[in-house]
Amino acid sequence: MKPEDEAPSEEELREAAALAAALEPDAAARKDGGAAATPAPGDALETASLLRQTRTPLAVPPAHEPIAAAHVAPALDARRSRGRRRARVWLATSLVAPAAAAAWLLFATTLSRHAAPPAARLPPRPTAALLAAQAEATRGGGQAGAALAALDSKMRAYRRQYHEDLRRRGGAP
Amino acid sequence: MTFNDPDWLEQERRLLREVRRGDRTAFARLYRAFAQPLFRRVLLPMLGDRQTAEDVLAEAFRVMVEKLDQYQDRGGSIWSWLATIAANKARDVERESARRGQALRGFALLSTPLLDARAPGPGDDAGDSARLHAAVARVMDELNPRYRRALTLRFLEDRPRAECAALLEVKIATFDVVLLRALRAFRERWQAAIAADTPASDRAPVTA
Repeated sequence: MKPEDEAPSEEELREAAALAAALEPDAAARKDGGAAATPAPGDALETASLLRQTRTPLAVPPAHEPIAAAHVAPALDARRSRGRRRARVWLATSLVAPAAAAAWLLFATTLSRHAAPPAARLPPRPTAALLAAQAEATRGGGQAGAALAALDSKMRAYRRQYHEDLRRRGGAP
Repeated sequence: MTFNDPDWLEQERRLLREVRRGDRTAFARLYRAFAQPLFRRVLLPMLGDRQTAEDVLAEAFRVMVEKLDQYQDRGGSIWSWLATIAANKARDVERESARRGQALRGFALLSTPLLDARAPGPGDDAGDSARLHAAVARVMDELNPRYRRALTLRFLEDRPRAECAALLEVKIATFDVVLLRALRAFRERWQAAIAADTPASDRAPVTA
């Protein structure tokens, strides 16, 4: 730091003019000192900036809040709509998907029930010989024992065929 | 209350959850907590221009909301993350201004040791402003009367250069030299006073 009354050097004069131009950058200031060639001294500019800020409190004015809110609003809206989209996906996965699965299960069960061939559930048509043996056995008489034995033999064959049919269609007892 | 206070941290986490869902009321509350310290401690000292600092402040909050999903909560406050966003935005603006030949001149080097001596907290802590103004007044009192008058007329009263020269009864070129010397004298005393007032152990970590 130079004493107050010391004569300024050429360099100091140039710096002072450059500083004046930088602090008040109008044409008049530039003409005064030919500041264009010398950059304004950074230390002095920085100090001037500090002093200028002490004129008023270091505070954001209240009017800035709505400006900032408007500036940020699109980003907040985007977040809200992303949230709504996520909620819809969650609803779909937590409610619709289980409902669809239940509906499919119900449909599949019903389908498999209807898919079973009705013929497999019905006994085979009795042969004419079996019907004749039944008629002979109900008639009775002296040959009743032989007729019953013949019916028994025909019924065994009939049951064997029935069980064989069931086994073939997957419905064996 | 500071940003590391457990009560504040709990409240901050709740507000951040709501902001993640796009809640405007929660955003307004976060803004009220962080805007003043960001402006006073980071943006205005870096940029030295109020209007630019206000613009960058709004932009920093927008980036915060957009990138909130990238923020990793490690148990502390979002203050450091937010201050870093604001400082990066301020640097972008500084670079852009320099490219256009309109370099901004901040005063962060001068004010940071004073402002960071206390940890930042939510809300409008007018203490930062008061400390800065009191420190400026103290250093002004130590200057010789002519330098003090030059600085007061030019910066505190914002008078035009020619008027300042007339009031000091000197030519304009002489006033320019007096002003340069006065600024350098102020700076020298300021740095000595700040270093004496803020022992290193009391300083909060610099976050931006």
